[in-house]
Amino acid sequence: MLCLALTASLAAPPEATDGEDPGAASSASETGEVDGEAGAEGRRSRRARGRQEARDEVDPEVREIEVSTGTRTSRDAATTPVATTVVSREDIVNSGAETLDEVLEQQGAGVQTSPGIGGVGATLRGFNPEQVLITIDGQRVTGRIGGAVDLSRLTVENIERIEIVQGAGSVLQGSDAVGGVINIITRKPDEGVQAEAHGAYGSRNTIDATGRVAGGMRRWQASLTGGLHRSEGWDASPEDEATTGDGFQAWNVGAGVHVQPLSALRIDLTGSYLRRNSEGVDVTNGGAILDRRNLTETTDATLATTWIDGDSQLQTTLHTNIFRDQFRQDQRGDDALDQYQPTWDQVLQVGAQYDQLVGKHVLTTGVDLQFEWLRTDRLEVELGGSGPDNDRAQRSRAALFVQDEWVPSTAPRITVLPALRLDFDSQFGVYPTGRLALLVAPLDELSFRVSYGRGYRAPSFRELYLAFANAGVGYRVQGNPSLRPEQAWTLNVGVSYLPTKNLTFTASVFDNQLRDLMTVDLVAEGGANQLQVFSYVNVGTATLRGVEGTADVRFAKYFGVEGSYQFLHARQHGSDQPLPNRPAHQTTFGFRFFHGRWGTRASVRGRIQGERAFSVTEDSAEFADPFATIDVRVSQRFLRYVTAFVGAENLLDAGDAVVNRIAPRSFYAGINVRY
Amino acid sequence: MNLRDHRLATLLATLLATCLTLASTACAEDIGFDDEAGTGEGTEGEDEGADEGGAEDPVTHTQEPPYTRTVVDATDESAWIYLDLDAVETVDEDGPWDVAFLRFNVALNGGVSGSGGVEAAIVEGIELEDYAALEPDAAFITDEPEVEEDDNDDPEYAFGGWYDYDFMTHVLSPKLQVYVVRSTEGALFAVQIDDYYSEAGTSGYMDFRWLAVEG
Repeated sequence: MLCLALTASLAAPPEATDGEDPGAASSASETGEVDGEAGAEGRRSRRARGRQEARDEVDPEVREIEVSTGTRTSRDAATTPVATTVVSREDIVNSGAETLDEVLEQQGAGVQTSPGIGGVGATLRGFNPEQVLITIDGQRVTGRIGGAVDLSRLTVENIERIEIVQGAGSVLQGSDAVGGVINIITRKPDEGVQAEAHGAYGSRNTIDATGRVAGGMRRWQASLTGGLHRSEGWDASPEDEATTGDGFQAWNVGAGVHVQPLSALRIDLTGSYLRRNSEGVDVTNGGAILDRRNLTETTDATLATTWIDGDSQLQTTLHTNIFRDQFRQDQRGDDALDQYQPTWDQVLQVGAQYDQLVGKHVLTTGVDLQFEWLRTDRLEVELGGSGPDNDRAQRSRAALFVQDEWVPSTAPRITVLPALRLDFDSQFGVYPTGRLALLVAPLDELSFRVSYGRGYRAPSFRELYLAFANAGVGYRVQGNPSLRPEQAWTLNVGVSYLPTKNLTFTASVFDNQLRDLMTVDLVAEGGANQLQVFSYVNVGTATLRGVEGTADVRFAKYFGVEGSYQFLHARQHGSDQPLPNRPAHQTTFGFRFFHGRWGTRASVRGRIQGERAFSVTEDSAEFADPFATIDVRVSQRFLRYVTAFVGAENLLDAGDAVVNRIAPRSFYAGINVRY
Repeated sequence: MNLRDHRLATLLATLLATCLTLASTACAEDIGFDDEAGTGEGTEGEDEGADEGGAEDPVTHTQEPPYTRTVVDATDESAWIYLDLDAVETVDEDGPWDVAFLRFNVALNGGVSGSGGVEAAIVEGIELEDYAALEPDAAFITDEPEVEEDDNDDPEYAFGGWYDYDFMTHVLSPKLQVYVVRSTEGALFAVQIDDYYSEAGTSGYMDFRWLAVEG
């Protein structure tokens, strides 16, 4: 396992910061817009500059925004060869978002959120939620329900920034990064004392109250974060008992310690706990009314060390995540459909990564070890067995990776980034992945990026071992231990153009070929009083191909407009039917105002989602109507530390109970206090 | 501002330790059903209705003159429920049963299912209220052996086509038709299946109206 990375911070394009509008664009990653809250990231920047200084290559204009998701090493967002969209802390605060899905809703047309069985998932350029890897500080988030990580359980109070990388990322991140990676970078405590509180109240008795206190000395810092969140559900079809959106109550706490016992050694210890209860009502097609409840808990703990020695750096990580979900379904008037399904999913990850600067190369090599245990009543690991442990599954993975970031030229800037990874999975054996990325920036304001790589998704425990019977209608679904990983070859070609500090344009073309897609198919006819058997099989192939463009224009000192558009051609091979839930056309737009001296900020943002296939069979497809959403928000700072805000979401009241299950029009107001 | 006050540092460290301790010991309550089996059987005072005890007759009859409405709890996945239409009572497998129910399967005591000689004629497209008499050439059929070419291993029940199946919703809906059943005692009964779901929405509750008719 080798992973070669080349430090990209040799020279950077001109600063794109507008002093009157810091971090105004919500997805400025490829543009390198400066984050107004450098915070702990400043330390990383200083470290990066320190390494540059050692090479006498200091650039006083070096950017503050660094990203790490695309290369696993800190990089200037503007010059990383893997295009990375960054949502900064300030973007998050100014958006009014309380959870990760609300943040992503406001990103460009290439990012789409959609409610599903397991909560709100993220779709990147047509890749569905199970093909997108969600990580926190590079560590994968566990607890997928129905294939998706529920983004609405990830609250924003401790998020420093979010990095979104489109295209296969398995070469560095392993399984699940088929179509992209969304990496959450948590906030790090800094020296001195920082304290902040946030409270908001909105429609449907929505309450969000969060707080954070942090501080420390030069050699150590600590932070404590907590939050309470609740909201009533919503119902787009009041004529029946079923609800559309779940009500929930959640609370979370987190803590972190950063220690630097030696000048070269940094130690970070973080932990968090979240409990979330959500409730809703379902009505089956047979008319049964089901009171449904999920009680979800997640516990994370991470110990990370970094040793920096001249031109090299060694990082080690120990991370564990425990996900517990209790699903309870209580049928009104009967108990035939009652269900209680507890699920335990535990992941232990151990990683080590070594970066070495050698001439014009940064070589990165590393190893990842991952152990996962899952226990749920729906598993049947030894088919036909009835032992006490057949509801448990476990697997382990080991991976070696190597990456070389080679910068043969800095004027014009050229970066070549080949990477290879070899995964050993206890379930399906050896799986190699690779990627080649290239950055060419003939001018400071113009850069081209190309990347081609392979991503894969290992079969989930559910797909391998599920044992679910619906005797009422005569079928059962069982896992298939012989499944192969799903894979995709992804090609991304992009250009970003920043003719002035007030103008940013990006465009990209992508082509993704998906193979061995896992689908459910009938594998055995039912016998006398026996059930039909459905199982997961590798049969699908598909194409995701399209273009995406973004523009951001600032004018008259205080104003800015932004927009994005994506065309997506998503087709299943064979039937040539469209892939469901992928609109061919998506566009976003925004208008914003920011006056620093007044402390006033206002924004209007919208999204138009075109017609999309909703129900697809071999020879037909039903389509869901297009819809548009508009959000507005105004905030005013006063008394130096206090900012008050009001806003409205989904002003057009789009959505329905079946195909576009988005929350109805709502209003909110609140206050932020920061010291 | 710079922190030089060690009391604040101590406070932060204490908060941190408290938080980590709380997180490590916190564990949400168990929200499972009382029986701990996960099936929900025998729980919940609100869940009153069809399933109130194993000793109860799984068949209920209600008079809706001139019809009798019968609801059969056929939710069990292996035990057939046998019904004697002549005596209007539930019997066991060795009794003089006419029709039997297992989930959505309906068997007649004839052909491959039994030796009672029970058979049925199907009158399509009418409600039970509109039934007058059988056509003189009406064909009676009974349960036949399994046909290899179909999509199951079940016998070819005379009642096998009583429902339409929606592949999208998995819902079974009764077809508009009346079955005329000739019982073990040679009497004729007109039967229309009305529903397969209980009031609570549970599948396996065969709900039908029927009455004795002349030939």
